[in-house]
Amino acid sequence: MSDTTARNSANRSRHWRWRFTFVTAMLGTAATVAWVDTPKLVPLLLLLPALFAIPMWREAQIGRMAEGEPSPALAEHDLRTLMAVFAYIACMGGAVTAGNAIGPDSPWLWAVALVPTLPILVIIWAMVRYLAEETDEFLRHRAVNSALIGGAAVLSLASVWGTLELFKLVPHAAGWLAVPTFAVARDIAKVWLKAPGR
Amino acid sequence: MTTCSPLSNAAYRRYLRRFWPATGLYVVAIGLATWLIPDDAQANALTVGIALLPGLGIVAMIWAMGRLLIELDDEYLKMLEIRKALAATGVALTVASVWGLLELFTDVPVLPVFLVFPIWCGGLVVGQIWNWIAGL
Repeated sequence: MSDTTARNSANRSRHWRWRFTFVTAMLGTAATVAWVDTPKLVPLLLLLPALFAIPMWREAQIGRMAEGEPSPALAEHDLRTLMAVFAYIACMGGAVTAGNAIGPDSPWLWAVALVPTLPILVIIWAMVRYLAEETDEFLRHRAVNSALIGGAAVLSLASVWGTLELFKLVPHAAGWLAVPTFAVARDIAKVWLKAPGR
Repeated sequence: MTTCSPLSNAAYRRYLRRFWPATGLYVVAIGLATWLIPDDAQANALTVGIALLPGLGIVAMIWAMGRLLIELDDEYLKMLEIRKALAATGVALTVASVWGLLELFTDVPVLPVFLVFPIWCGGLVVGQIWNWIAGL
């Protein structure tokens, strides 16, 4: 095995290790939030997996450079998303604090509740920008396909869970879970699409 | 400029042949589930199995749409459909996220999760308008 191949393999392995850690931590956070049923703990619980995103992002950049797929648009997308995730955590923490301070009857509660939606909208905007800015047709094709598969997964899960919820057989699933679910499904699809032989 | 009817394309005809039975399955299954599952039913294998059927009907509709995107051999039509689907996904994610956070902080009524698919279908209209605006 040549030095370059060995280095690429080590990069890939490090990247996937961080990615696996990140996804596991996110799923653990989601399960913990559902289990403790205290939405106000969400910002605190989200901080740990979000911190794992930093080395994951860094290793992804190094890996892409090593593999000869340096996509500036993808690097930009990842950076925008990472910043939006930290903004989301900060906004959630701020909204919880502000919500407690102004009380449940305040007319300002709606405005407070809408603040954490802004970083989520930035995450969605970043995906749209990436598709517009990516100049590598192959990478764009893969991104579109994985986004379509991620969307189909969210719709399928929501429809199946939704009908069970309709008959009160399962608890209500919060709408804010849509974007994290989409992100996980899209990334799984990306791995599948990158599999040898596809 | 050439005009073409979607139904002149074999992929669209196959899509409709898959979509309408899936819709029929959903309608029958939701009626059956409403009839068979009492209001205060416990979650057990039978009730969950019956309640899963309408969801599977919707999954079949989504599968039919996915097959359409795979089987469309006209690259232009495929691009239009993909843009619509991506726009609809953006709309569905946005509505679910915004409403989800309002649910968390305020006393708005909960958004039933099964509404995500109808919202996505509404998003297809947004995608169609986006295509028109782009002159496609």
